[in-house]
Amino acid sequence: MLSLDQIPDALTQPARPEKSFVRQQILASAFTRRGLFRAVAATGMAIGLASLDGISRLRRAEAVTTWGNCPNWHPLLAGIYGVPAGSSAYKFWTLEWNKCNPTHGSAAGNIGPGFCGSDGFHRNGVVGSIEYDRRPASCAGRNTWAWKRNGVEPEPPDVRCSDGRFRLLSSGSAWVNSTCKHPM
Amino acid sequence: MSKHIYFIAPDGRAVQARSASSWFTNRCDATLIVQPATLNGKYPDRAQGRELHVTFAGGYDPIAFQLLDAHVEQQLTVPGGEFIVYRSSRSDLQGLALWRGPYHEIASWLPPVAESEGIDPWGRFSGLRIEDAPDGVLVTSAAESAVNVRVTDVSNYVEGVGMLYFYAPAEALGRVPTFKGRSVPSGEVWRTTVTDLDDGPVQTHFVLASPQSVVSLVPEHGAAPKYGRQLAFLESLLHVESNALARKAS
Repeated sequence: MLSLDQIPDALTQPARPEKSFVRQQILASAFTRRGLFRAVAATGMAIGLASLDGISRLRRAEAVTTWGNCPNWHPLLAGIYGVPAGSSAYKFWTLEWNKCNPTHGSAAGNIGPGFCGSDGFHRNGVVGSIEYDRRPASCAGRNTWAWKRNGVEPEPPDVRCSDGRFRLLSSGSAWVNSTCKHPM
Repeated sequence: MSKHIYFIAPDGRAVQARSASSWFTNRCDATLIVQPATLNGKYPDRAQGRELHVTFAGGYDPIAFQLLDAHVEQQLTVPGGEFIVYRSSRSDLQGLALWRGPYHEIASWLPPVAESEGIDPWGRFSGLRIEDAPDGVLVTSAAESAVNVRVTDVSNYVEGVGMLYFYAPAEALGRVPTFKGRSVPSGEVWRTTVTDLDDGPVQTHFVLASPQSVVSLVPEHGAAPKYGRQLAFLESLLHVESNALARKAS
């Protein structure tokens, strides 16, 4: 029977690491020339978008789940106007936007301190007839982001948001996105 | 409860898992991002997209009626399904735009009435071709439209264990360590501790990699410290797959 101490920690490389056989198999099948063409055709993703996403995933794995220091989104939007697509400034702001607007409004209305647990993050577990679930990677691969004052008027308060979702157990409803938001 | 799940993701991939014991309910959810095929460079890419949520038909009714105190504002029958717009009777609560087929439905949130001026609820589904079937709903770009549809996650809840998130292996390679994981019948498994902040609570997640799928297991809240049930589940899994294109738009 499997026990927790038999499972390697994904973030700590052993002293004498053996290569992952499964990873080699994934690489072999996915990144052959034919496999790569097939994958691109199947997903229909823009190459630039995919490469940005890939890089950020490679760097972060699942270690830390908070993006700190998100800029005020009003100046963020102002900053993007007139910035040529593909420029380094554009890529920077796009990445910032993805980090700090994880659900792109899909939790609209389901945002507030009521979704926060006692730990200050999105509730996780059953409370009464509602089941909550923290979404570990909805925010460009992390769960949480923090808006900080950045000196631009009007000043928003510093807030922290943590993504999750919930469903009503009594009626077996679908999962609905929600966001825990509270002053820091 | 069954030993097998089989689900067609909205991009046509077959998502399936097989275990030695009965763990599964055959119900999966998915999240989609729909973006213009050509991004205009004037706004962040993400701001030009729409997020849609797929679940079983009728799954949003309790949300609409119990939670949002909503009523049906518009309803339009179309071949293969119907469009429904729910509006809340409360000004501070949002509405829902819904495509509902015989087996599944696709939802998009609408802003509260006060903020919804100029927003076309049907626009959330424009440019899409939707084909519903018992094992999944296929969402693709309509022939005349220029949108890209991307599935961000497909998830399945396993009672008493937690949430499973299935990813295509090539897209999730960054989650798979270069060093060997613990061998289990379906592949290799690693654990990872997740901290929300430096001083935040620590949670343990599991990553299971097979040549056909990468699966993240997020244990249910209140899981025992040694994660016995989660480990028994991982050991019981015989096969996971989320890579093969099983269906194309007709």
